[in-house]
Amino acid sequence: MTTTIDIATTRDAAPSPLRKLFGAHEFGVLSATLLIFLFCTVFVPNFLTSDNLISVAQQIAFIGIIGTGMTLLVIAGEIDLSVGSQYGFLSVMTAYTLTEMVLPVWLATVLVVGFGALIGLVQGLITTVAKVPSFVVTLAGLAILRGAALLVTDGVPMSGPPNPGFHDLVSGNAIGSLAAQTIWMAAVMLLFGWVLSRTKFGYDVYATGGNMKAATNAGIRAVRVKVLCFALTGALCGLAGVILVGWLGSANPLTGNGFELSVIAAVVVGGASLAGGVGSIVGTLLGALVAGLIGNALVLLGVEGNWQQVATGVLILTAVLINRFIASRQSALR
Amino acid sequence: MAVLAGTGIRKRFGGVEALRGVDISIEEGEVVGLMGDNGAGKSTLMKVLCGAVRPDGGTFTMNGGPVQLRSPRDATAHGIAVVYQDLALVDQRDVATNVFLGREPRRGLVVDRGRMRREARSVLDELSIRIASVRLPVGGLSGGQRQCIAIARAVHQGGRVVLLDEPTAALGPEQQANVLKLITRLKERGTAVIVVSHNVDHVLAVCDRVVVMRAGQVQGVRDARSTNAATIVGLILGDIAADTVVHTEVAS
Ligand SMILES: Nc1ncnc2c1ncn2[C@@H]1O[C@H](COP(=O)(O)OP(=O)(O)O)[C@@H](O)[C@H]1O
Ligand SMILES: [Mg+2]
Repeated sequence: MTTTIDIATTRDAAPSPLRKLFGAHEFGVLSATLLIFLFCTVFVPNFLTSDNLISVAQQIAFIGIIGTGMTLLVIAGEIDLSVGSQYGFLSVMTAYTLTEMVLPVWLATVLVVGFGALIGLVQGLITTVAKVPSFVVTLAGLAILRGAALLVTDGVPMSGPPNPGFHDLVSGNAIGSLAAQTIWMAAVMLLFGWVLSRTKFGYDVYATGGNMKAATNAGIRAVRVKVLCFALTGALCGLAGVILVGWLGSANPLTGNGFELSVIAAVVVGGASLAGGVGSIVGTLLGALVAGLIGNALVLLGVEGNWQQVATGVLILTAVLINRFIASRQSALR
Repeated sequence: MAVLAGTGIRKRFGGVEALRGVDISIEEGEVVGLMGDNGAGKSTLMKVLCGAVRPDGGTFTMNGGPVQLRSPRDATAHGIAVVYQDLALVDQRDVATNVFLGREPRRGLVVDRGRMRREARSVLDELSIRIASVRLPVGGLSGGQRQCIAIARAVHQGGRVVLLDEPTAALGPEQQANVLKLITRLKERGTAVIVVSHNVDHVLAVCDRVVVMRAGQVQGVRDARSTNAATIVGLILGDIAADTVVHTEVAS
């Protein structure tokens, strides 16, 4: 009896950490992160200072928070192109509930996050029940929510309340001089990284995106899983909006214009497959970091801002090609 | 008493009447072979029995009591497990996860991965399924191995009735023999098995009863011990006229 168990455990033992690392979907993005970091350290002046690194960590917070929802959604086999508009609309809603309705911060937060979840719920239901591809549904959402944000504000930024406590909570110095945004991002990513990789819901997300028919046949409520992922993404857009307004003290209706590109870039660069079933929160974090580091380096090198767009596009293409290469190497190994 | 019985099952797909009033029943520990030409309605019948296809008509009983099989969840809850002809695995996930798909063991909120791997391995060993590691993604395995994992899942999750749709079709001889052995083992455990197959020898070797379908109807039902390959083939091709005594034979 003991021998069989021993045999079983050795056969099914975890591969060595090194093998695991090289085989991981995140291997490409991890190497890229390290390479870019090394490059910047050597060639970019003022890169390796704690102030600069802390500001990179602060800048990627919003991509990280919204990218967490997007990661779950992409793994579940769907996509949300409206995250930039949701983020903008919900920022405006935050400022509105705080300054016009004069609600306490906690209540405004609950309302905004809840409304974000509701937006996701509606888009998720249209996608799954009416069977319209999420690409189309959320493209419509992108236009509608941006228009709504501009209509509500007449196109001018809306100021938030002067509330130092709120400001400190979302953007003060949290640990040492690490910004609170960074901590919020870390909390969100840790929580959902755990949910995704360890809980039954996370397993259902992978199964749903990997093979929806198989998942449904196995008794997984795949439609509900997808709708929940949409709602989660919306809720996290709300959280990002609240944090942004607390930080800046105002909400610009153009907030997050084109932001979906950065978020999807982080998720895809992080090794997630738009076909569903593959991806991870760690990957997305690294993907956001790569984008953040490149953007930072371009700024420090004094490169014109528009090149950042070009760099993001090139990054997506490179990442997809590398991921494809890794996937083919993995199947060759077997 | 039949562990599962369906009466008067009908199903139409647009202009095609896939099932035209089919009766089927199976006892505890019985193996029923379901045979018939391509398009006879075998897969549709299996899908109806496992809740994946809603029939247009028909009633179901389990151990004499009426049941509804409206969804795969319903069927699973009643202890009906299924292995599809078109495999239903999640390629990106590992062997252990696929064996437990949708029913992962949990410790609190967290999936108990250690237990999942151990149990998956013991199920594979029990069925003599050779796979290097339960951590391998199933997408990289051979067709035979994938079929075996799908069966392992049905066995592991299955309660009283296991439905197998052409389980040996994609397999090499050794794995075919393993699957047949596995069906016998299920029978010994008191599990009812309905197996779709095109191989008359396989069916006569492991089944107690053979149900032959033709054009959406039951053409004939035979006791596997007292029939022969020629009779079965005759029923499949329609050379032997359809039974009119199907009902009495099933009931007796
Ligand atoms: N989802 C479907 N849509 C339309 N027609 C179908 C569908 N499934 C099966 N059919 C038709 O129903 C008939 C029976 O098919 P099937 O049950 O797969 O037969 P078998 O498994 O015996 O080969 C065939 O004519 C087939 O084309
Ligand atoms: Mg078939």
